[in-house]
Amino acid sequence: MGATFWYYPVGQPLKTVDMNVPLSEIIVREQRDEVVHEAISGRRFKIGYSTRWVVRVIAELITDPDLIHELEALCNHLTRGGQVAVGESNDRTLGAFLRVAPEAGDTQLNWYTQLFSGYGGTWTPEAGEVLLLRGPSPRALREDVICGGGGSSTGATLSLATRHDWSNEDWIFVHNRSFWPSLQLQRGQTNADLLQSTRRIHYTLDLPLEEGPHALARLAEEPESPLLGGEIEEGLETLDERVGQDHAGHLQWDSQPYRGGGGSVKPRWF
Amino acid sequence: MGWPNVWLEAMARDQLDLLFLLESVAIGEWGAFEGAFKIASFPGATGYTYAITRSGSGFSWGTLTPGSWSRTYGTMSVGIMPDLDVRAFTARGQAVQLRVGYPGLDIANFEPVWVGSVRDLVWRGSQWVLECVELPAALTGRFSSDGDDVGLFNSLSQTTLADAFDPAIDTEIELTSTAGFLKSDEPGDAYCLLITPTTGDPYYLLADTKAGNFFQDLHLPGPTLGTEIVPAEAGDLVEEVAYSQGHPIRMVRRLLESSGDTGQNGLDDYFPRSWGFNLEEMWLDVEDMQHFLLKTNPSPGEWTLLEVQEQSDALGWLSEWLRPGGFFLAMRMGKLTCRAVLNLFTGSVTPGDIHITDDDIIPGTITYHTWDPQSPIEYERSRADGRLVGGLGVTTTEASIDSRPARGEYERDLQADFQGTADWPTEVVERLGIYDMRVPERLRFQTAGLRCAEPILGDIVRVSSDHVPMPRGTDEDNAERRWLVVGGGPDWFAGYCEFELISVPNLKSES
Repeated sequence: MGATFWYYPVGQPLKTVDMNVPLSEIIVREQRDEVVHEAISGRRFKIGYSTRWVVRVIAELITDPDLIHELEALCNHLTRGGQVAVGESNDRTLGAFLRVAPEAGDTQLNWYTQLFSGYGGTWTPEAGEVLLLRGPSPRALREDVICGGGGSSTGATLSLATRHDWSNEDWIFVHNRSFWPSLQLQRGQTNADLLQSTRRIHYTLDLPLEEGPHALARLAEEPESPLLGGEIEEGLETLDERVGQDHAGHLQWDSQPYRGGGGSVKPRWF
Repeated sequence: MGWPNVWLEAMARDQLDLLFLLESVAIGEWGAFEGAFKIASFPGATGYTYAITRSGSGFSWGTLTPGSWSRTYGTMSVGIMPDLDVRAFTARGQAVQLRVGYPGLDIANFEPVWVGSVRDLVWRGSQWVLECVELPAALTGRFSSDGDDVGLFNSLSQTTLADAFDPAIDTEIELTSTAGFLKSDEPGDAYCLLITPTTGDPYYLLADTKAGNFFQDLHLPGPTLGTEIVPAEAGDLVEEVAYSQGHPIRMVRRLLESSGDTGQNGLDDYFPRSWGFNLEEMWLDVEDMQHFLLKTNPSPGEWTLLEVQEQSDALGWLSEWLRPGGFFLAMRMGKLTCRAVLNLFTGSVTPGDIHITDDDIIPGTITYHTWDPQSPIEYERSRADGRLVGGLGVTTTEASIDSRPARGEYERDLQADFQGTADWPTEVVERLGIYDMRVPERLRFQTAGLRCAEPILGDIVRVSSDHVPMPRGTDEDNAERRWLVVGGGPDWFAGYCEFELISVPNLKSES
């Protein structure tokens, strides 16, 4: 079970590139578009406009010629503007929107259909598995949570209670901490040397990727759009096709709405 | 009605995330602006396309020139993602509104911060940039797509006398035709004719009633509006005059609101169709106008609208009409308003008692001019004159300061003041004179965040800073010193506010 990439080659169904070995490095960080102005007194005003995630993926000492050919094709896909999903494990690909916003101290999460079962199969929680909760840009509230023993494909019991009150978020996305479903090359990196050879003895893959500020919101909001944002490509699978008409575009919150109170309040993106 | 407190409190937070909505809006009823678009800086706003980018977005602000109180107007640029070709939805002249909110706020409650008119759509830096001018600057013509209907007062007509007219004998006057001659429905207003007699100077004649080719219930014997009514002969030229009386700010409301269908568009919808912009009342900051009306309201307090020609540059005409009294058009909180320059010492501090301190001012942005570069001359006297023969001017005097260029008198001709009393000259001199008789000091700085986003041109704010020089020529305290806003505003895309202020030292202490 090695690190894996998923993408859609031109005119082809989902392509899985399994490295069969762990990644050498995966560095994840937030990049906020914000301004900070400081007054004479030292008082600071910070105004956020958007937040994107930068994910740098590095794999070294690649010697398998077949894998190198696959990675060459993947790099070309990325430099053409294509999107890719990355997972440190090929069977831990949870990605779903929560049904109910957790409050601080909650130890149970429930979500709608796992959107990426087609990537890594049915997902059930394993004790100690780290999930990432994320809210919309620009606030970009996030929190690591750790699965306890219990749960199912649509929910998990946590071993450690949530810290934040998420009730003001318009939506909440939960995914494996090491699974990033919607990435593309960072701006300005189109001509970067993504796959480097060392005397043709071994290769190093170094992908500077990013998740746009609103990639997840778009995923939720526009079910007709391709899962991996491939508007530049033809024949891509859409979210509708992936998760079924009964789910996409018809997401409704359970009895407890987000943003606490109000009963009929729906997330803004419906 | 201004921004609600809950929204203002959010803008004043030390930490804030901002979201934007930009959309085309209908501000007139004649469908002058084809197409429509609604775009947002974030996805998920129902009905809006996620397309706004911060790169390429920004503001410039209008200014107010001390003394002449003439204006320049501000602009807004909004960056739009390259994959949305806005040309399919927009048109030059289209009215657009920017609304601002924050995460958790329903988009219906996003507050308008800017409204204006599209001037250009530029492809720059691999993206679109929509360039707009603020709404007051869009008043160059009426909001119509019919080229013959754009000019203000475009329906004014002229004809000739059908029969001789002797004001000493006649109680009515007969024209070749009265078709097209219209009047304001404001109570007290009347039909106004400009007659050019064969012998004598042109004169105005007011009439309350139009019946067939006759005007009756004439306001005789005159003089009328400073002109002597004399006999005229058949065939003499008669021109229709756009005439109305009222406080200048109320006159602005009549011009902006009037639809030709009295009362259909607000309380001041009194004028014939071509005399007004038919700007829906929701785009007017009626409360703000009323505030400045009450602050500039001598009794009686009327100016007279008296126009005989179509105005192809309605904004230029209106600005010049207002300027002698220190009145000007401005945009406040995404609405159009008409304000007046107030006396720095006696005017109210507006809005909402904004007090700018070192908790707001960004270090390194302060520029202070001991003498305002835009006000090179100091006058010993400030004078205002009503229009009627005989002057009725009012002068106020202060000792000049020998060390600077000085001239005797700054004179304002109140061309619309036909009252024949000293009320308006007195009011204007008391309000504006202090800016003539001392070269103002000028202060420019930026404030961090958007706490100080409210003030606009004409507001009086208080500034207390240890980093602003003391008032020139005095040893007065610098705390809570009053300043008049003559430029600047909030840049919502950059997260700061810019201020361009003037103040005058205490006249007595500097003489």
